[in-house]
Amino acid sequence: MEDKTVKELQRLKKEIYEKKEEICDIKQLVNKEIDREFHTEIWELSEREFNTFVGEYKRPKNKYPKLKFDMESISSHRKIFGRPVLFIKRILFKLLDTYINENFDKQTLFNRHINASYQALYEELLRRFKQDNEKMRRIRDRISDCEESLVIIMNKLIDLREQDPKDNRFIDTRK
Amino acid sequence: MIIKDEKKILNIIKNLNQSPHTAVSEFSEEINKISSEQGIQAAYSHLLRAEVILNLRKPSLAIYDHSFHFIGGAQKYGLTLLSVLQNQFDITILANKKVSHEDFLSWYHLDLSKCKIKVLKLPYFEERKIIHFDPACISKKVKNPFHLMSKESGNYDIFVNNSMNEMVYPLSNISVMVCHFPERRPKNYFYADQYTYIVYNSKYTAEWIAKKWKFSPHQHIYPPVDMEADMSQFQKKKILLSVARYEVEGTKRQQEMIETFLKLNQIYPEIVKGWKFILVGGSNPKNPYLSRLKDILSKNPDKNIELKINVSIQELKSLYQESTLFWHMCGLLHNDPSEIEHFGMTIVEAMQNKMVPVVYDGGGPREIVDHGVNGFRVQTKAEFAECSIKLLKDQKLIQKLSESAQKKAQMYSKKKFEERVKVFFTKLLQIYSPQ
Repeated sequence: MEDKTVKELQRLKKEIYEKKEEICDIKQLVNKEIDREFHTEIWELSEREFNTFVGEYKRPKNKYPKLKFDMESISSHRKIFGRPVLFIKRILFKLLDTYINENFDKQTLFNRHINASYQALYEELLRRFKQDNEKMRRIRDRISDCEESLVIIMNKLIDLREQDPKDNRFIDTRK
Repeated sequence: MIIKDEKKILNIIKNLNQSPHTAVSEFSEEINKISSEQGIQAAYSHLLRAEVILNLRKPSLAIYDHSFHFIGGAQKYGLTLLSVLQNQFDITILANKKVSHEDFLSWYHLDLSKCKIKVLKLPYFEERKIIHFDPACISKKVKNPFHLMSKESGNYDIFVNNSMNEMVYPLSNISVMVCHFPERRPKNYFYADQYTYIVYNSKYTAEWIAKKWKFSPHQHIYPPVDMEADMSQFQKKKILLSVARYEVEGTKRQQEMIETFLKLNQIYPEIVKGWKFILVGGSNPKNPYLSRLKDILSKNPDKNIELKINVSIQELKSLYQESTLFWHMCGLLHNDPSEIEHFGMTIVEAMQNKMVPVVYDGGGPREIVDHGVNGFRVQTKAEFAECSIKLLKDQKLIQKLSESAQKKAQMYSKKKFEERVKVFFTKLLQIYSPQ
C-alpha cells in the first residue's frame, strides 16, 4: 500500500475522530433515536418483579400533584396568523382562569382519592398476600420435612427387614 | 455491525490497494456520505474497518465490565476470554474503578500483560460514592450514566460488554454481550437487542433471554472451569462437601442441607457413621444467615459438620480432591428464576475432582448432571435424602458415578472454553475482514 494512501486515510480518520469527539449525544452520533418505550406484560412478572413494578407506580399519599392549566402549552402551527391567535387565546384563558382551575381542582381531588384508595387496596392486598404466603411456606416446609423423615425411616426399615427377614416387626403391614 | 451498502464500501476499500489514486477520493466521498446519512460514528467505524482489511493494524477489541474491580465468576469469564485472544487482538480492558494487572493475576491467575487497562470513572456513581454499580437503580428521570461507555465503545473494532449491563449502547462495528442471566426486563435505556451477538453461559440463561428479552441469543459458550487435578495422587475420604457463598437471604440452602444431615444422623446413624459434612463459602463479616448456621451447629456438637469461611484457593483445591460427595441445593423451595443456579461452576469443579454431585433439579445444574449417570438431580428434600442414602450405602455406585462425572466435566474445561472462544472470534474476524 502506498504511503500517500496510508497518510490520507490517517488524516481522514483523525479529522472524523475529532468531529466525533465533540459530540456527546449518542443519538447525534448515530443519527437516529435510540430510546424506546417498552410495554410490561404484568402476568409474566415474578412475585419480586411485580412488587417492584407496583412500587414504581406508587406515590406518597399527600404528594399527588395539584393539576394546573399550563399557559405555555398553548401553541399554534400557523406561521403568520399564529401569534395573534395565540395572544387572543391566552387572554381568553386568563379571563376564564377561575372556572378552568375550579374543574382542575375537582379533578385533583378525585385523583387524590383514587390514588389513596389504590394505595390502601394495594397495601391490604400485599399484607394478606404476605400473610398467606408465610402460612403456605410454613405448611410446605412442614410437609417437606415429614416427607424427608418418612423416606429416611422407610429406607431404614427396608435395611432392617433385609437384615432379619424372619423378624415380623419389620413386615410391611399395609398390603 | 454496519451492513448498509456493505458490498459497495468493501469494494472501495479493496480498490485502495489496487488503484489508490482514484479510490482514495472515492473512499473519502463515501465516508462523508455515510457521515451525513448514518451519523459520524458510522463513518468512523468504516475507517476502522478499512484499516483492518488493509492490514494496517491488528483489530482492536475492548471489553467492559462495571465490576472488574471485584472478584467474581462473570469477571473471570470475561478475562479468561481475553487471555485466549490477547495475541490476536489489540486489547483494552475498560473499567470504571482502579484495577491492575497484578489484581487479575492474584485473583484469577491470569497474565493479561499484553492488554491495556483504561479506567473511565462514571461521574454519577463517583458523586454518590457508590462502589457497587447497579443499573437497576437508574430510572428514566436520570440521564444514562453509562453513555460514557457507549461513546467509548465506538473507538474499537469489537466491543465486548461482559457486565450484563444493557444500558450501554454499542457503537463498534461488532458488538458482543456476554449474558450470564437476564436480570432486568426491557425498560428504560435497554439496548441488549442492539448488540451483534449475545453470548450465553447455559441453556437456562438462553431460555430466560428468550422469555424476558423476546429474542434468541446467538452463541453458547460454557464458562471455563479449571479445578482439574491428578486424582491418582489423592485418597478420597468420607467427606460430603458443599461449596457456595453464604448469601444473606439463604438462597444457597445451606441450612436445609445441614438439617438433612442432622436428620440422617438421628434416624439412620449407621450409614452416616464416619462421614463428615464440610460447608465452604465466602461471606461478609456481618452475615445473619451465617450466624444462624453457627447457632444450629453449636446446638448439635459432635455431629461431624464443619463450616469453613473464605478459605484459600489451595485449601479449597485439597478439599475438592479429598471429598467424595457434593451437595448443592441452590434453587430448592424457590420460585424466582434469578434465585436458581444459572450455571453452577462449583458443581463442575467437584465433578472434575471425581466427586458425585447431588444437586437441585433446575437451572444450569439440569444440563450438567445427568440423573443416575454421573450424579443425582432432586426436586424435594425427600428426594434429596433418598438419593443421598442411596449413595452413602453403596460404595460401588459412588465409584461408578464418579468416573462418569469426571468424564462429563471435561466438557466444561478451560481448554474447551478456549477452543470455543477461538472458533467464535475467528468467525467474527472472517466476517469483519474478508480476505
